[in-house]
Formats: sequence, C-alpha cells, structure tokens
Amino acid sequence: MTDVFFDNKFIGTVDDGNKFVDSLRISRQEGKINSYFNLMFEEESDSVFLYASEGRVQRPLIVVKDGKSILTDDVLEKLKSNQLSWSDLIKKGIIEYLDASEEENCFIAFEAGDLTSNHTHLEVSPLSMFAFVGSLVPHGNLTPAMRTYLGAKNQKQAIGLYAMNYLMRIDTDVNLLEQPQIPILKTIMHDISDYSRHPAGQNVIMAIMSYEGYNMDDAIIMNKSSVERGLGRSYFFKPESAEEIRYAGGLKDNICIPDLEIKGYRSEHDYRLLEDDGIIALDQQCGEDDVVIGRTSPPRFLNSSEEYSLTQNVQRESSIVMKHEEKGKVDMVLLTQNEDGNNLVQIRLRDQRIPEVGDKYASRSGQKGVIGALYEQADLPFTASGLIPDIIFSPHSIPTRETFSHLTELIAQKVGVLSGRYVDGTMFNSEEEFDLRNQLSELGFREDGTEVMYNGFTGEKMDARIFVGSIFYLKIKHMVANKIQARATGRVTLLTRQPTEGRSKEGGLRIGEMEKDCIVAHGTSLLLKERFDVDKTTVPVCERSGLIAFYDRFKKRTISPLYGTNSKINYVDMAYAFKLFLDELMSYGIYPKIALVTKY
Amino acid sequence: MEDLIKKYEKKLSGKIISDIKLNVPKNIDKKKLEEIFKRAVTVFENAQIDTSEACGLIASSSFGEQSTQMTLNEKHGGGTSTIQLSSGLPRIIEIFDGRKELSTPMMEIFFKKKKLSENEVKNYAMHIKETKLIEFIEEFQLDFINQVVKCYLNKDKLKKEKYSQEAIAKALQKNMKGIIVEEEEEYISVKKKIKDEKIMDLYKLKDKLKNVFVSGIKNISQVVIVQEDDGSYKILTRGSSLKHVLELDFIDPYKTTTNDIWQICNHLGIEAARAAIIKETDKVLEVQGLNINIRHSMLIADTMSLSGIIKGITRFGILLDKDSVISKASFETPMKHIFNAAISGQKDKLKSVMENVMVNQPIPIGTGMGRLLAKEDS
Repeated sequence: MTDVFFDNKFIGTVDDGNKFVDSLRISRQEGKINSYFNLMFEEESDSVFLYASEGRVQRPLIVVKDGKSILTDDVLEKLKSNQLSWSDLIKKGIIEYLDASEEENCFIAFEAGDLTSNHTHLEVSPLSMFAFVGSLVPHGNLTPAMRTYLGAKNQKQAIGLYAMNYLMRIDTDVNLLEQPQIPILKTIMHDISDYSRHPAGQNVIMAIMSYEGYNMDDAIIMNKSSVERGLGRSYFFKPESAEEIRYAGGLKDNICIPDLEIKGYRSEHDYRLLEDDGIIALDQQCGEDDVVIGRTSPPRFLNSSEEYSLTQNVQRESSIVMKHEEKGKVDMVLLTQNEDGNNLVQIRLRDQRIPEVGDKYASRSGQKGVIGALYEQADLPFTASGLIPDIIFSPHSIPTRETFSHLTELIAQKVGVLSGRYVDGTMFNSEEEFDLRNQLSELGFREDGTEVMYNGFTGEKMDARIFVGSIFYLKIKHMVANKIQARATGRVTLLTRQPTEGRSKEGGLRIGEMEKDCIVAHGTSLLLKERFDVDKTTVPVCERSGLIAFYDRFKKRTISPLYGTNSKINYVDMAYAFKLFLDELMSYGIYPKIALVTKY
Repeated sequence: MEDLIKKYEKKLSGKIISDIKLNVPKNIDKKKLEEIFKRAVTVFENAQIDTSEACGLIASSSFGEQSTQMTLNEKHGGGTSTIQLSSGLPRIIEIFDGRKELSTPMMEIFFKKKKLSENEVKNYAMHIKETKLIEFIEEFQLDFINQVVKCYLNKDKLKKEKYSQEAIAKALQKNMKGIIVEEEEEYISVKKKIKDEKIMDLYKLKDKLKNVFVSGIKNISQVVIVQEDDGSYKILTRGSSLKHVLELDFIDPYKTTTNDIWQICNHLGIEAARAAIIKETDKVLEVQGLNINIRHSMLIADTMSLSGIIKGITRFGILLDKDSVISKASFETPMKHIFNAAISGQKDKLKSVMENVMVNQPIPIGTGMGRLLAKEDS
C-alpha cells in the first residue's frame, strides 16, 4: 500500500506506487494531464507526492528513452523550418517541465555525450544552469565558479544603454555610456537577448604587464589619449522635482523667483540661474548651493489671528537647491500635473563623467579594478606594429584567482578583431582555444598572443614579450565623483554638537569605537582627548549641589539650580554629550552629583 | 658558571636561568655562556611591557581584528567518521563567554596500556558509549488490556555486546522511576505503578522507554576509535563527562582531556581550567591558520579565572566586577546599571579608561599617566 499525497494533503492509497507514478508520467507525456503537473515517488516513506500548486520552480528538460534523446535530428530540422514550435515539443512530450521534487526520481545527463541507458532526461543545454546574466559571461566554464558569478554581478552594475527611450524618461540616478559597443566575444545569450540594443561596455586593447607601478593591487593604467577620444565616457542623470501643493484654506505653493520679504530668503546670487517662471533655463550649468526651482510656501503653522487675515505675505522659502558636491547641466525641463492635479515641475540634470583616477572598471571575468593612473599615449608602451594599449592590467591579478577566461578572452577577441568577425564564447560550447590560437598564427601573430613591446618613455625594447589582446571592458557605476568626501571643520548637529554624518550633509569621518580602541592601545591619551574635543564645552558647576549651574544674563551672575547664588561655582570642561547624559539621568529622576577635585 | 648566574640573577627570572642551566652543555666556554646570558637579557627585556601599556585592550584588539578573518560557522571533519567540532568564531565566543553548555562537547580518551588489540579498544569504547534501550529493541508490543508494554530484545545484538536480558531489565528498573519491570522468558514487560485507563498513556510510556539509559556513560553519544601514528589507540567522543570517564580504571587519567572548561574547573581545579582556556583558544587559532601571541590568550585566561571560578567576558561575568558605573553602563544594558547605582548611591571615581573617554578627559593610559606631583596652594 502506497500513500498518495496531493499538494502535501493525503488523498488515498494505491497498490504499487512505482507503477502508479509511471502511468501518470506517461499520460502527462501523451498530453492527457497538464504538463506543469509534477509527481514523485519516495521509496523510504513508500509514498507518492503529486504537485500542482503554484510557486514551484520548474525547468524544461529533454526526455530520454532507452539512452537516446527523443529530440531527434528530424525534430530539430522541423524546428528550424518552423514546422514545429516550443509548445509543440511540450505537447508531444519531448520536453518536460520538472520541479525540485520530481528531479529526485530522475537521472539527468549534462551533455548528450554522457547519455547511458539509465538516464531519464537530458539538459536542453549545459548553459541552462545559468540565468540570463550568468550566461553572458564568456568562457565562464574555464574559471572558478565564484569568479564567473562575480563576472555576472559586474555586468549588472555596468553602465550601458539602459533603455532606448532614455531621453523621454526621468529616472533616479541613472548612468548612460557614451559609446557602447557589442562584445566581439559573444555568447548565445547576447543574440537571444538582442544585446546589441542595450550594450554595456566597450572593446579595448589590453596589455597584461606592470608599468611604472600604478597598476598595483587591482589598479589599472588607462590611456589618457583614448579617454580624450571618448573611451569610457558616461553621463549621470539625476532628477529634481517640485510640486505646487494646495493646502487647506485656499493656500498653495508658488513656483517663482522668491521675493526679498520672504522668510528664509537666500542671497540674490543663489537665485541668479532662475528664469522669470522660477525654473532654471535649459542647458544651464549649475553647481553646489544653486537654486534650480524657486518655490515659496505658506507658513507651516497658522495662528488663529493670521488664519483669517488678508495679509498672507509671510510666505516661507522652500526652493529646490543643489546639494553638496553636486553639479550638472539641465537636460530636460518638464511641466506637468501629478495625480492630485497639482502642478509639478521636474527637471533632469546631466553630468558628463570622464574617466578619472579612482573610477571602477571590470572585465566580464570578475576582474574588477580602479584606475590608478592615466598616461598620455606617447608614454605608453607600443608594439612593433605601433599598437598602443588602452588599458594596462596587472599580471598579479591572475594567478591566485585563476580567471583563465580573462586570458582566453584576450586571445579570442584578438582573433575576432583581426579577422573582422564575432567569436562565440558560450560556456561549454565555445570555439576551441586551440583553433583560435591556430587562426591567430595564420593571421601573422604569435599563437600565444604575446608581442614584442617598446617602452614608451625611453623607446627601449622590453626584455619580455607582452601578452596583448582585445577585451570587452565594463565601466561600473561606482565613480569617485559620487563618493569623494573630505572636511575640516563644518556643520554640527543641533542635539549633540557633534559633526554631521554623511557625504551629502558635508559630514565628517567618525572616529568610531574601534578606532578609539586603537588610539587607546597606542597610549596616546592626549591625542584621543583632543580628537574628542569637537563637542567640548565649559559648564559652570555648583560645588555644593554638584549640579550644572546656569548664567543669568540679566543679573549677570551664575546661579545654582538648588542654592541660587549661595554656593561656589566652578567652571569645568566636559564633552557636551556627557552634559546631555547627565540631563538624561535627571529626566529619569536620578540625581547625578558632580564632585569636583583639583586635578593638578 | 656560578658567578655568571649570580651576576644575572637580578636581571632574569629564575625560570629562564634554570632553563639555561639545564640546556647548556657542561663544558661550555665562558665567553659563549656570557653571550647567551646577554642575549637572554635583551630578549627578556624586549618581552616586558612598559608601565601604563594598555595590555588588556591590545589583547582584545588582537583577537578582535583576527577574528574578522575567521570563516563563520565552519565545521571541520565534513561528513567523515571523525567527531564534528565547532570551530572558528563561534567556538572562540563560546570559550570567552565561559558557557556551561557547549555546542560540541568532546573528549579525548587515552589508555593506560600502550599495546592494545583493536578488539580490546572496541570493548572499552562500548563501555564508554551511552546506550539506550531502543538500540537493543527488536519490537515493542502494547498490551492494552493489562496496560503493559512488552519489549522484545534483539538477541544478536545482545550477544554481540555481551549483555543479558536480565541486566537490561535491572538497568531499566534502576534508571526510570514509577514503573514495574518484570522479566519473562521472551520479553521484558513494563507497566506503570499507577494504573491509567487512557490508551495514549501507554504510547507515551513506550516513547519514554525508548530513551532510557541502559549502560555506558551518560551524555557520551558517539565514540570514534583513532589509531595514532605510533600504533597506540585513543578514543574521541561526542559529549563529555570528565568525572565518569576519570573513574574508569583502564584510561590514562593524565592524558585524557575534554574541551569542556567548566568540567575541568569542577574536577581538576581552576589552574587546570586556566590552562584549558589557553589550550582551547590556541586550538581554534591553529585550525584557522591565525597567529596570535599566546600572551594575549594567557591574559584573557587569567582575567577569566582570577576569582577562583570561570567568569566569562559577559555582563554576567567579569564585567559585573568592574568598579565604575559608567564603564559598566557603556557595555550592555546601561539602564539596569545606572538605576542600580542610583538606588545604592554609588560613586564613580573616573579611574579607568571608558569613563574618561565619555567625560572627555585624558585617559589614565600611556601619556595620560603623567601627573604633576606638586600640590596647589589654595
């Protein structure tokens, strides 16, 4: 007796679980049962599990009978000539969708060559173990899985053409590559997904060598002249928007150049970029602290007397201002209305990002790095034929990471560049490295991809031959222009009198708990004190009560909260945060008494 | 040699001098010996820390920084027949917290006799391993009319492990309360002293019987025999019971150890526990391939054991002994410490590091130790 469960609910028993499952499977292949239905026979518990619920992950597999795939050549021919479609294959039972449970009963061959009579299914393609982005990595089967995965992750962050209608869109924080290209080393997924319509990267010439040391530790040296010709340039788009909100009582926001009388008026200089309608002009360059949309709002709280008064002229300033470290040109101005019927002004700012030291680049093999130096073309090494690399990549990045796909890509793309064709680099199915090398030597180059190079500074021939080739390189969206941060003194937060936090608020870099520990461990006690002096305050302390006293400005004397003028007052330096701590203790009803002792 | 020793007596510790005495050949040249002493003095002086060095913080930072390199939650042994041990950061935390319940308690048992046959070792292992009734059971039968559970034993297993039905019946009677055990020819019958009418209760009794401890040492759930390179045997166990293992006459009590520091503390004393803390910490570091100077773990072990029992580095352990209220409050559960201090009217004399950082005064460490000795005239 075998128990039968349907969607994990017990529904009955059958005599022979194996036979029952087999018969059901056959009727599914014949199309009598829905093809998304899955079943499993579990021997240990002697029960059959049937699944038809939603939320199961399924994948298509080719059915194998007697050690042979039933997706025969003539079926393939019919597919090619469009006599058959994918859904026909499912209807005919050639392709089956399995879920995780049914896979337990199956024996799936990875490649057609592996098939034995025990196999029940065959992978549609070995590539199907990857999802979309993963299958965009060429030669990924040559590289450790983790690196292939990183390569896939890098592609998600690469700047490219994110949408064809980008000119009409207002998106938050998007990047656009100026001259994107199609990779020369492609995978089948590039063709399937129409990658040429949304490319994200450029084919560059790369030399693997060290040069002057500016490409140590995952840095790269980039050709400044190539950058001047347009390599790796991108745009950064950022929207700003302002709404004319209507409030109760007929009051509303007003988009305009604010008047002088308005509460919180900035300087005339800040408003200089606004046109008469209160909005910045198209193609106007603007920077930090500039007003891009001028706006005034009614006061936040209305007194009962003001509410009915006719003089509503106490408007408050609420303009949209460029934040710290932001700049750009106005790319688009959009006047519209939002879903509440309020007037809405949206502008899009565009900022060109030219590669600079610190920008992040990556190959598709999980080899990421930042620019360490930009060299003039004249200073870079060149080959006998005059080829000058765009990027010099450090050889030390290769051995420990074993990213062989990075090296084979150089060879494959070199063949592609020289013979003017695309090379197939689909995982498990790519053109053989051996063939590519032969083609390279047929093209008149060394089959190992190396070339004699000359020092760009001195013109001397280099002792070693340098591995040069072409590679598809991705610009990653993390650029220094968005991250650079430094400060001396500046704004502090109101509550703690400590420096503000965060780049956009012109914040400081915190000496945290662990950094503090380092200074303590060094024994540099006074350095630590001085560093924490940012919120130092001198407070009057009443010696009799041990409480913090206060200064009475009118009577011009310090008064103890308990004993008035009847006690001795001393001035003590302490952290403002500690004063707050004492206040907090008092709020709990604890009396924190300070006992003063002369220290010296 | 004697006069040289006298010369250096004050500069070196007695342990170092006796070490040199032991390891230096008798007929050594006087010049060479002097050189040895000189170098010993430099090494010794370099190893000393200065006054006002923040040695505790350096020790904790040394562990803190290195532990970021540790692979989290890694178990080693991966499915082989060895005992799985928790290692890495979780184990370090376990040791320093002074936990009583370990995630993977383990013992390493050595034998008195050097040469043992494999069968003998297997026999010993059987003695040590905790055996439950379920392992001997062929079948349970429930007699609902008489309210009796009949336990049919597996005869082959009994023979193999040299147990009689009688012995098991006795063990059952001894180790479970409230039942009456009767031995029949084919089976052992078990019934409750207080009779219940419910059928469910009989099922419950059956389930309870399954886990009744029959023989061996409690808590030792698994034993693995390991043959070492020199041909001698040792046993690794999962679960630890130092007291009961030490009572066995065939084990070597000097070499047998456990990784349970509390058991060592209870049965071998605090000094042994201190040594165990250092040893266990070093074991973890070695597996992870990290290199932390042993003096750091020694300092931590000292702090944990100085009160005579193991105190973990937690708010219930050594931090409870701190004098300063602010310092305690800055670690964990601040309100609790502050309220307790307020109730008992405690004073904080701002003597240690944390309080002075909070008040923003020079901390009494390193350059902050300097004081002007002249008194102010008021």
